[in-house]
Amino acid sequence: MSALFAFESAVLMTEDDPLQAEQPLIDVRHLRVQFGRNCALDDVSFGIGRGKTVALVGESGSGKSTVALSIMGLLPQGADVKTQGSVVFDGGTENQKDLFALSERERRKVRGKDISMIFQDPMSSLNPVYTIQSQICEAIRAHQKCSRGESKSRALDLLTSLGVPNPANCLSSYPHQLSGGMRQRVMIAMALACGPSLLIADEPTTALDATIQAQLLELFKAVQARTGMAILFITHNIGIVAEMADEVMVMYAGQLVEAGPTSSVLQNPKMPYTKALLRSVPVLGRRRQSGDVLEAIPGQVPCVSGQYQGCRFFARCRYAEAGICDLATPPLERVESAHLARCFKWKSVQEAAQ
Amino acid sequence: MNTMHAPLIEVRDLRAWYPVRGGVANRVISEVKAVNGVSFDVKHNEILGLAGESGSGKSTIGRSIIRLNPHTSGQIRFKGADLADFNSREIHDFRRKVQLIFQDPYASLDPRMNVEEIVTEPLIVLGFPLSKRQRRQKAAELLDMVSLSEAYLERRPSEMSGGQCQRVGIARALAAGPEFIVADEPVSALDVSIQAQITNLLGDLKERLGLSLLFISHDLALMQYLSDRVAVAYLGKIMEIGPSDQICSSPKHPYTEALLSAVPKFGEGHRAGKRIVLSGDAPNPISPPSGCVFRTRCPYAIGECAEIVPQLSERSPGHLSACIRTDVL
Repeated sequence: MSALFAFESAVLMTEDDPLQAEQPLIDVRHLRVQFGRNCALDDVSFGIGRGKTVALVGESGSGKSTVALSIMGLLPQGADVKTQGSVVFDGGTENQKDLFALSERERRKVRGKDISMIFQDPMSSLNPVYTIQSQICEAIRAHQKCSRGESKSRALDLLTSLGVPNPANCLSSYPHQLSGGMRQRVMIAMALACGPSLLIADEPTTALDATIQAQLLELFKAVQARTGMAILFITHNIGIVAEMADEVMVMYAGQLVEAGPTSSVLQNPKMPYTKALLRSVPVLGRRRQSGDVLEAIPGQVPCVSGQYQGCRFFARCRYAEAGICDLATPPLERVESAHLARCFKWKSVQEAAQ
Repeated sequence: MNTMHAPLIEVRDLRAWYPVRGGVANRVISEVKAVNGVSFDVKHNEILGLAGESGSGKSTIGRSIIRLNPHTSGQIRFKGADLADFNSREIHDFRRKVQLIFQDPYASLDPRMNVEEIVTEPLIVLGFPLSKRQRRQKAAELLDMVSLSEAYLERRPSEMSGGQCQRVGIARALAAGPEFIVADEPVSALDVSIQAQITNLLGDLKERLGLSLLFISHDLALMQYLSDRVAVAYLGKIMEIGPSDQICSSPKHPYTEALLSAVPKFGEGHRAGKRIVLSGDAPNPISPPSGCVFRTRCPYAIGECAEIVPQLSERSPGHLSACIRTDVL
């Protein structure tokens, strides 16, 4: 099953898009992370092409942040944390790196330079006792040899390009003196300081107001158009996915359950979880009538430990069939040219709907 | 006073200002105008949505109405009677009829109490004598209302998920048989699929129990779905109020228009349509701009906006907007 998955994901990345004929920027294969007996990630494979935006969607506990942290090498170290699989960065070029084979020292050179990450809460990821200037300059000087003066002017340029009003003033401020949107801009400036080719954004706008979120989404698009970096955008907001992403991957209980081009997945979801997820969000223009209900998904995400049998969505799925769905884990199947879904019954469900 | 036809809640020119102290002898040097002249009604068996960004004063409005926060000036009337005139017995009675649902389901439940104790505590506090057996029976009834089984009676908050905790929070709010509930961002801390469950529950309870709700949220799509009417707050003032469909389909205030366009959309024709991106952040409520408080970020602002304080005026029946640029929207 996993061989099929690897094959499919390789095809997904290479065959359909001529621009991606070379290897993807980052190639994650059979990633498996265990915290004690709990299996946080189970055989996750995907690739991100250069300059692409890929959204990773899922509920809390689905493992989407664990994917980000394992790519960054920031998972807690300990006897009960087990990581398997491989993550190859910049495959097929001189810069090719097998991230899991690197020493911690080499890893640190990748972090912030080749791959950067932005976290959800800008307040807790900035150090409250240092000025913005010292924090951005630290990020620059960690990877590049330059004088303090040079790093300061670089930081100033960065903030200006991110649309920070009065950047000089911002540089001499402490984090608590800035608004949430400004703090997140500072985080973005730090992440972009060394021109990474992959940016991992873990729910970067969830903690912010709607109008500030709109500002930042536009900013991400502008920065990407300028620098050509790839973005792994972790979110649970389907609207953001539709607006930002070229491709989308849906996670459930540690597995990828559906992946493909954004328009295909959002308009034509095949996996029942994705379908239910899309239907459970009210969209503008819809008004509750008496007796009307939003489709809620009953129950909760299961806690997966040890040997888990069957489809992980089985207990909450309206199409589930005992004897089929609870006996074996469904493979991630190709349902359309670049669209994969993990469901035994997608075909019969689709036929029944027609 | 005709209590039959008066709206359930009437808010008139509500202000909640908080002193900022500093300088010599810790004097009051200025005031945070968290709520600055707000008027609206909540009718019987109606869900009024209150939308706005952080700092708009929406939570302060909700808490002032049920007297959790002191307000500086203005009137709040419950069934036509002014709260300021209530004696202690009437306030006690009022407390029974208004309740609050909080945003964070874990933080609002006592971790050392079990569910039975949590949901019946309001009754004990309000002085209903309950035997042990009655207490358990009442708790089971309340859980049934929020679709939790009796098996949860013995559980503690740490043994439940966020959605289950929020159900318990709702059951507790229903315990004393309220007529009016302030729901302060009741679903924003929950996962999408759980949000739908709680949203359905609130809509269902409104119908079954004839409740009125003030539904505070920043999610406009959710608000349109659930609310009968929507009020949009910005910097301590109401910018627009009206039937939710009208507000969301043809907003009459530039701020509402910008808020709606900021919602990332999917479905038919996604990525289409021009987005209005507001520049900058909301101004400081210690010194709000002169004239219209939104003018510093408004794409349609003209010179007069700095001088005239726009009043809510009717644009179509029941739909009020506070903007002098009636020519653009």
